[in-house]
Amino acid sequence: MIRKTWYNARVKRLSKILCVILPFVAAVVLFTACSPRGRTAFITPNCFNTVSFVAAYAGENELNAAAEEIGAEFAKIDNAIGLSLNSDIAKFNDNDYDGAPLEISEITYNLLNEAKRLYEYTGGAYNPAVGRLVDLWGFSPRLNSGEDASPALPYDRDAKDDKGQPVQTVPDEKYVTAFKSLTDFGEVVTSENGGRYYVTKPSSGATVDGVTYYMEIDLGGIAKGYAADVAANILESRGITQSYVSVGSSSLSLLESKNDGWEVSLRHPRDNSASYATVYAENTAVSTSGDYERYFVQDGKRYCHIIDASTGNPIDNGMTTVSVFGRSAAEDDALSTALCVMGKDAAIDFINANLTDCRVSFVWQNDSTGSFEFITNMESGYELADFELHSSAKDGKITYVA
Amino acid sequence: MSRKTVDKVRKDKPFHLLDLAVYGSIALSVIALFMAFVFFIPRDDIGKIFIDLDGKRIAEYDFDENELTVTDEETKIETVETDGKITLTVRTDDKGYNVIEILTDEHSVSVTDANCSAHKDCVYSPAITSSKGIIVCVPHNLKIYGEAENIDNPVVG
Repeated sequence: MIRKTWYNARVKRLSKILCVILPFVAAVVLFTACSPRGRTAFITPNCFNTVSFVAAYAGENELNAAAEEIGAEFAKIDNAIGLSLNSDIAKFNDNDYDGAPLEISEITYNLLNEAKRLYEYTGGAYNPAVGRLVDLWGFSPRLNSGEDASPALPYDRDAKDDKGQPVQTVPDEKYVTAFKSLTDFGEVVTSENGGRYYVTKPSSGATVDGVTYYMEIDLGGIAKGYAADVAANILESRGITQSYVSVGSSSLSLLESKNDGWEVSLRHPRDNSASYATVYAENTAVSTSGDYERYFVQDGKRYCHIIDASTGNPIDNGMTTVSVFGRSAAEDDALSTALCVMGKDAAIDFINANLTDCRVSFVWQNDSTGSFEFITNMESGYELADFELHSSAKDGKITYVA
Repeated sequence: MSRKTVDKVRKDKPFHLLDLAVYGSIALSVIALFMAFVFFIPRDDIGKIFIDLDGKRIAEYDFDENELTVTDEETKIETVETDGKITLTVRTDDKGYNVIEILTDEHSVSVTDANCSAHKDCVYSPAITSSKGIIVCVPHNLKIYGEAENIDNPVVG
């Protein structure tokens, strides 16, 4: 009798345990089996002279459909501000443009207004009006589309390497001086009238050897970020929430992660197969600019694609890479470029005054020692794999530590 | 029998056969789940690399099998295999070329030379060392990428 009662009590207790444990185990197994796997889908056509993709924990068909819709939107953006001869920006940059208000698409209008806001916000450090200088230094798509790059303009060089391949070289100083005067982006005027959009280009030009040149703009410093924002909205509207989009690897829009944040690797500025830090982030955007993306070396000196409008030359201030997390990818895109142009001290001042809500980091090369220094306003949420930390951070502000 | 007696018996024999059966089943479940995560959740190691030209697969390499397969005979691909390295020269058209280097032991793929543009972005692209990597030569419409399985570690820069 005693054994039987004892046995019943034990069975009752075990039943309770099993009632708790087994549903839990079953739920875990089912969740593991049924969760969509992580997959990527490339966004076609290739826009902005680069490659883009979406990554998500979602069904294959669901993701492919989203990528297709995003591709269509990217094509619209590219047609508005990209390389094609009929794009709004190509028409604006046409040297025969007579200065009359030019009708543009709503996309171009919005992007130009955002660019103008960021131009003011960064005190001109972000300046899309460096288009003519970008072309002069050989970094424009005109010279890098893979098509015939024979000299077409008076300032084009015809240098070739020992294999007969075209190489970039430092331009004539007289062009740098002249084109520097074509960079007042504040003179670009946008307007709207009855649902139609217009932009007016400054009528003043710069003359070199009898040829007059006018302002050109390059929205490459904001376009990829803008595209990433557009793509993220599409992913959200389709309910693909555990996802992110990468536009040319320089701008990411990150939605929810599966775990405690996406492990975003920051590319090493001097070793393209490595990353120097990992930042954990989700529901935010990030854009990176650096002197390693496009550059050439002449006489041992590196000339990168980021042009400082105040000097007319590529940046030469030790800023090798800047990453900005927060706000929109478009704004991060422009801000990262602007911080590159500012240089270490001005960048720290700007971050402390304006970007305490963002997570900003950069790598600065000390010219006197040649060493690379990592400087950030992040107090946590990252792991540093290379470089020495040369800052302390509190409340989003940086104190530089020599 | 009183409740007190049952509690006493339970206290005296904590590892009764049925208890052990439950504990054992829980342990087995945990081990099974662990094994499932280890063996069935996609890893970040690069397993295969694909090479597409003009949107068409022209070659692929399987690191695990150490097997290179040229899937399009029309495209001119020159292959040089040395110890631990396979060098592919892809002739993209009459004049264009990209040189792709596969380090078979290091599970790494990179473009080491090309005549696509002055910038040669593909040459300066990071080597592909994980399944999330990709190298694109836009002028030649050449794309090299690994099996995309682990998406949790995006790269920016």
